[in-house]
Amino acid sequence: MDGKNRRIQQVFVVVTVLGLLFAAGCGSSNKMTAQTSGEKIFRAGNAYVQAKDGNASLNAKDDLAVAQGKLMNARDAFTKKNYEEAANLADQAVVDAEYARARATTKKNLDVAEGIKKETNDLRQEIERMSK
Amino acid sequence: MRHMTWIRIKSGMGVLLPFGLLLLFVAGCGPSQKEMMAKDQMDRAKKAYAEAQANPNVTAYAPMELQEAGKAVQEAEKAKEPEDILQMGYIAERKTQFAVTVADGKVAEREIDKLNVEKAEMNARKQTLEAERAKQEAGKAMSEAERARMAAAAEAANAAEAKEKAAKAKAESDQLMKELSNLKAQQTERGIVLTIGDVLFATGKADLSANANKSVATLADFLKKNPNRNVLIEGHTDSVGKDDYNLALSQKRADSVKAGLVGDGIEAGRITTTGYGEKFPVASNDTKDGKAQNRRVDVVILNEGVKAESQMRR
Repeated sequence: MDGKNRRIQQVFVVVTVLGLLFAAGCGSSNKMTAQTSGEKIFRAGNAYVQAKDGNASLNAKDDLAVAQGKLMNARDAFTKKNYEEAANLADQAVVDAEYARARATTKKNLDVAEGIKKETNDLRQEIERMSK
Repeated sequence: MRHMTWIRIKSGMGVLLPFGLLLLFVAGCGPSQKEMMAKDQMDRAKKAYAEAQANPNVTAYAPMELQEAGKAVQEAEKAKEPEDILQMGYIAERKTQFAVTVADGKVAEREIDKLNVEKAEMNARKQTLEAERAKQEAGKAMSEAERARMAAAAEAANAAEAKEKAAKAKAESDQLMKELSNLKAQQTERGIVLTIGDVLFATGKADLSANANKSVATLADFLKKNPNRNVLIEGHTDSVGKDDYNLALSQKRADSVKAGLVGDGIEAGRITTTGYGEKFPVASNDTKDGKAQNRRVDVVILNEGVKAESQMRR
């Protein structure tokens, strides 16, 4: 009986260890340092400022707000020493800020085009009136 | 008994425990919610990238950005862990959106350039039209000014002519008055009227006196010098006698003057006569002198072109 119990215990231990190892293998294996995470947050901050200076606060308000939210969350995570999460959020903030800047530029161009189109139409109508 | 029960439990665990652990193991590595989210994220990223690749504007105007997005998609596809797939899939999707937005911005820039050219052409066309219109307006204003100038010149010429005519008429009138100064000449609305008076006729007579003959001769000289002037001779009487008689007598007196003028060489056609009887006295018929003044003949020197009938008294 003792031998049988021992075997059962051995199987239990082996399966448990394997399960833990496997579970550990399914989880993230990346380790992020505070320095790398901090650098990414710094880059995100720069990207955000550039977007803001590029009129995103006016022409892509919502998109800029997304970038700002991610940047703030990244800083919070960094403060809590969640460097992995901070780095991921900072990376997202960078692409969000760049997208917001591009959106602002495009919207500005579209607005300018629309304005010129209106002016041109007004001119065309004026010319038609003058030609009569 | 207790020992037996423990053995049963232990032997049961020996069978169930590995199964339980296996279930946990399978559940732990199966498609969790996070894995599903990662898959969705990756699908969105790949779909967005495929659409961007198919968009000619993106390939033309944002090739570098599209390339970066492609790399991000490839990197994301290599990721094994759901967290990594979520993260990298998000980055790839955003980079793709960035590429599309950059391309849209470039397209808008080209549109701006095109519209600016069109606007410049419109402005040039407008300026040309404005210049043409200004030219037309100037031409119109000039022709109007020219017309006004010509009208003013014509008016001035007419005024000058009228003034000249008036001056000439006055000069002629003055001259006539001067010439007729020895007759009793008066400037009236009907023209120059001169009265051959000074007791010309005796009561009931139409024969010209010697003084009257002298006056008629002066008048004849005047008419010879002014052949374009005709005369209307009006005979008058005093109140002595009946109206019919006086009317006939006044006509005779006018005719006597006419005969005198004709006798002095004046064409009869230039002379019109009429008799008014006692109708238009110039003095009181209650006195001898007044009656003598009323027995008279008035001669109207007609202006050029004026008919005698129009100047007769009513």
